[in-house]
Amino acid sequence: MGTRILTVEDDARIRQAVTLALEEEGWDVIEAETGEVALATFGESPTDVVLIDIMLPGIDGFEVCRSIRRSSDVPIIMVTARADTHDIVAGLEAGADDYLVKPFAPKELSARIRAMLRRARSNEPGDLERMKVGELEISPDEGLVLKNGTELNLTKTEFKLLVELASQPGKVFSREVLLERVWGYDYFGDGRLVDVHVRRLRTKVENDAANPRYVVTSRGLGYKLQP
Amino acid sequence: MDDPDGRHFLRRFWPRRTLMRRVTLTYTVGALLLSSTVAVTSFELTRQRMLNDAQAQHQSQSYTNAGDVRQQLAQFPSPPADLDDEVAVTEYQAAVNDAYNALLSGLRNFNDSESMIILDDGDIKTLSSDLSNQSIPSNLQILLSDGARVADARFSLLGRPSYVVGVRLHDFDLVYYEVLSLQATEGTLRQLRWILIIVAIGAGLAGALLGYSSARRALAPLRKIVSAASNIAAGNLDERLDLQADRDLSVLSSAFNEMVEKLNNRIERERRFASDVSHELRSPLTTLAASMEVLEKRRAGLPVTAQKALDLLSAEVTRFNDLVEDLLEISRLEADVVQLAEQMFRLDEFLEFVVSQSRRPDIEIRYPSTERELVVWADKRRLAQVMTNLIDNAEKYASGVDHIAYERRDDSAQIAVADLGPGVAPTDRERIFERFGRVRAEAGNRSDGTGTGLGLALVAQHVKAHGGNVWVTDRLDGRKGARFVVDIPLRREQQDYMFDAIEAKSGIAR
Repeated sequence: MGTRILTVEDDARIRQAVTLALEEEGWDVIEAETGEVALATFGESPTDVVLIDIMLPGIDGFEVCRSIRRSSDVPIIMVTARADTHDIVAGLEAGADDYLVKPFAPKELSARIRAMLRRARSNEPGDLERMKVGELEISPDEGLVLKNGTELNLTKTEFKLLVELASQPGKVFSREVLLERVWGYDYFGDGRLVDVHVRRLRTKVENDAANPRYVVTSRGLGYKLQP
Repeated sequence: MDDPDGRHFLRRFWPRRTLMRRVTLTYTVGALLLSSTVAVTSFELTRQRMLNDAQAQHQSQSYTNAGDVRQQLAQFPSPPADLDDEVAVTEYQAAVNDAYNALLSGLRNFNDSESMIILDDGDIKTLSSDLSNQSIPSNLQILLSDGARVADARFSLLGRPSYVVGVRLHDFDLVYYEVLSLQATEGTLRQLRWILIIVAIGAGLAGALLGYSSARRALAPLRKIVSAASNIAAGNLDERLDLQADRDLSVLSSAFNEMVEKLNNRIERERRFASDVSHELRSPLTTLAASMEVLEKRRAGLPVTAQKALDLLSAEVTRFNDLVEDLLEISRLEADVVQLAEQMFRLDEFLEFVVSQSRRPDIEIRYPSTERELVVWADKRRLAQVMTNLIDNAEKYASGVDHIAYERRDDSAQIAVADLGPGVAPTDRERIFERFGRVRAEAGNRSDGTGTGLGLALVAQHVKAHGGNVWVTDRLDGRKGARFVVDIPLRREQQDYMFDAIEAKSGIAR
């Protein structure tokens, strides 16, 4: 069974063109023209990556994103026609892993999808060992994070981010490095991706997200995991 | 340099008259004119009145006294019948003299007036030591001897202003004069004149003060307008005028505010239009780009003609895409909704990367050896677009980049892109940074037609968003070509970060 991509887009021509381009890459594409259809389809068949346009009739892309997040850690890429900070941050806060601004080159979309799939499948044994940081217990091989023995519900991206920081506890990782290692961006990734994901990660691992104990900001430089 | 009218010379002593100075000057001159006119008029009126009063009083007194003289003369001793009787004549003369003395001392002379009687035979009778027949103006004497009954004149007696009334008594062949000194009156008038001069000057000064203060008050709304207008010009379009307190000025203020409001709406509309158009173009472009890519993948299977057509289509879709991206970026920048994702990075590494990704990866980067590790604080993606656009610009219109150089200025970093083109004419040096402000292609400028016409405008907007500046000059080494300079301020907080960076260097995983 090949990789299945769910494309949620109300503009028929865009949807068809994107489907064509993705099928050229050898992926199976399922189309949904509304959020309602998307959620129904998502529930029925296993999906590897979801592509959501924010501006949808009926329930909008943010809501679709949040609904999917309640039950799944599937990688979500959001597509927006507006490069405004507000939309992008709102999309990321809703649970998207990455975003694209229209008009995007399908090549770029494929690259993002491939990076996501790599991340989702990176559960194969690595050189990282099980580690404990305060109340946290991270086991990279199993893809698990325990806090006081309880499993935390992290998305793949959040998990990868935490593991990356935990690879060298106490060292400051610049946004750029994190973008490269977690998202697979080269030089010009959007630092907001890191910031929003760190924020989301904190709500899950920290006792008080406003005064983080583990994922600490090093102002102007980046983030580090406080051992 | 040559100054035929000597205007510059004049200007130095007669500075350009501002509205304020003009109003003040007008008030001063007006007040001076008015007060001096009033002063002169009232002085003249008072003077006439005082002199006339004094003279009229003196006249009537003189007439009364002349009447007395006439009565007393009638009772003078008669001359002796025998004029040869020397004793009788002598007695008579003594008696007449006594009678004159008694007469003169009996007259009621007010205001220190002095009386004198001049007989036709030249004899003078007076008690005053100051008077003689020389003292009385001769034309008055002639007038009276020629038959006039009364006459008067103003004259100067021993340097004192005086007034004399003469009454001819025909029956007795003599003229009675009575002289009034006007010294006291003139003294009073002199005093009055000084007072009036001082009052006039005071009124002039008060006028100047009043003019100055009312000009200031009148100009206060103007100053408000000036400050509002310059605020608006600086981009603060929310600025409004508040002159409602004054009914005359509230008209001005509402007209001004309406103008700003309309201007604002217009700018907003234009902005929104550009942004809306670009947004609407995004959907078809997304479809175009996706379909294009599918076609490109299947290019090999197409006939040669179709392949050529596809290449053209593909190039144009790319350009269209760039154009929309640039337009959107510009409209966002112009709407000031952009948040810079600023971070700290080494300029040399950054430029090396940008050049390596550009269409000319071999461009030489020059910098002073001491500035190898110059760190800037900027939005990397935007600064990269700035550099890429400048490189593309040089490639498209100026035969390519010669080199890129950066250096540190007092509180900024300057990056210069020098090209091999014909340079930019001084008259075009501002315009090329405007939207679609392309300079018409000249011979020797090759263009592949892929430019959007927005590249340099974007450069300018990006740099401006960083609080920096961009401009174009001739090359410094005297060779042909243009030199685009990007000046990005180094922030003070950046100094701290640089310090942190050195300390934390080992801590940053890279």
